[in-house]
Amino acid sequence: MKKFKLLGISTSQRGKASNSYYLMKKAFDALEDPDVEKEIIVASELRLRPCDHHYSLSAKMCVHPCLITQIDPQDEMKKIYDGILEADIVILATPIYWGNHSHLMQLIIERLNSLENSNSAHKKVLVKNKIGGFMILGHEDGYQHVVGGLMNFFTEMGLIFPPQAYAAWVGESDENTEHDRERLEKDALIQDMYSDLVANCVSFAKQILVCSHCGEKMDYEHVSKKKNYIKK
Amino acid sequence: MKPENTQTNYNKCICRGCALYSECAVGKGEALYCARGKSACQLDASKPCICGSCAVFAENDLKGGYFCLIGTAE
Repeated sequence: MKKFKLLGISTSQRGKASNSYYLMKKAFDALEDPDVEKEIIVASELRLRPCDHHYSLSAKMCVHPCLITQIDPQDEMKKIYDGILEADIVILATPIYWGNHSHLMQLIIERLNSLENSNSAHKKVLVKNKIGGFMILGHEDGYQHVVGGLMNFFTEMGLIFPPQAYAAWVGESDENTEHDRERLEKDALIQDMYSDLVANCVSFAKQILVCSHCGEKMDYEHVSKKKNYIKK
Repeated sequence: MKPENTQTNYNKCICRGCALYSECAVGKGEALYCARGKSACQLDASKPCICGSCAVFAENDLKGGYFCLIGTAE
């Protein structure tokens, strides 16, 4: 039986103290499956240098390994690159701030351009046969907008999504967040929604990444057609 | 493709206008790192690279950048 690697990336600036991490950890712990290896990367615990946007000079400058990874030994984005490349299932968690995902999520997305660009500019598919999912948490502002934006990038990068590839919870239309943790701890329905996402992603991965009859692994390589306009 | 280490390419090279280019590099007459290899000077790796807008980069179908820190292009 193939072992599936489940990677979580929590992108709240509040790290392990955040409600995003709390719900992700709870959902990962709820999954008791001997076929699944689990890991959570807490983005705020890493030193992540922002993207230098060299892509804007030339798409050919944006490579993998990323130029920052190559020149800056302090930068720890390699843990996220390697984590994604080694995983079968990647679930990303973000809080909502002013209607959008966290600044750490945006930093990570911009740095992950190096994986996405490998396909669209260098004709080399690095991210393939991986299932994606999202965990969104906020107050008074819309999670559907956030998940829509995230899906846009991560499908370009190469993740494959099951139906309803996200779990989300938002509080009332106010700014009183003081009792959120207490509510999240007591409300089994919210926790179930997050656990269901993890279970659904793993179930979907098992269905499509390995043939249930012959055990052969899926090896689908989607070469970007729409962006391979760079002739050289 | 590694560019040729020629005077023509040296003249086209824009490294001397780059934020990483230091007084030390000026003194050593360095440039065209994509063909000649990495700098012997201490350069500030926090500055952005401009290799992608250079004619030598385009003409030789290069990838990446920071050749002054990493070494010659492949």
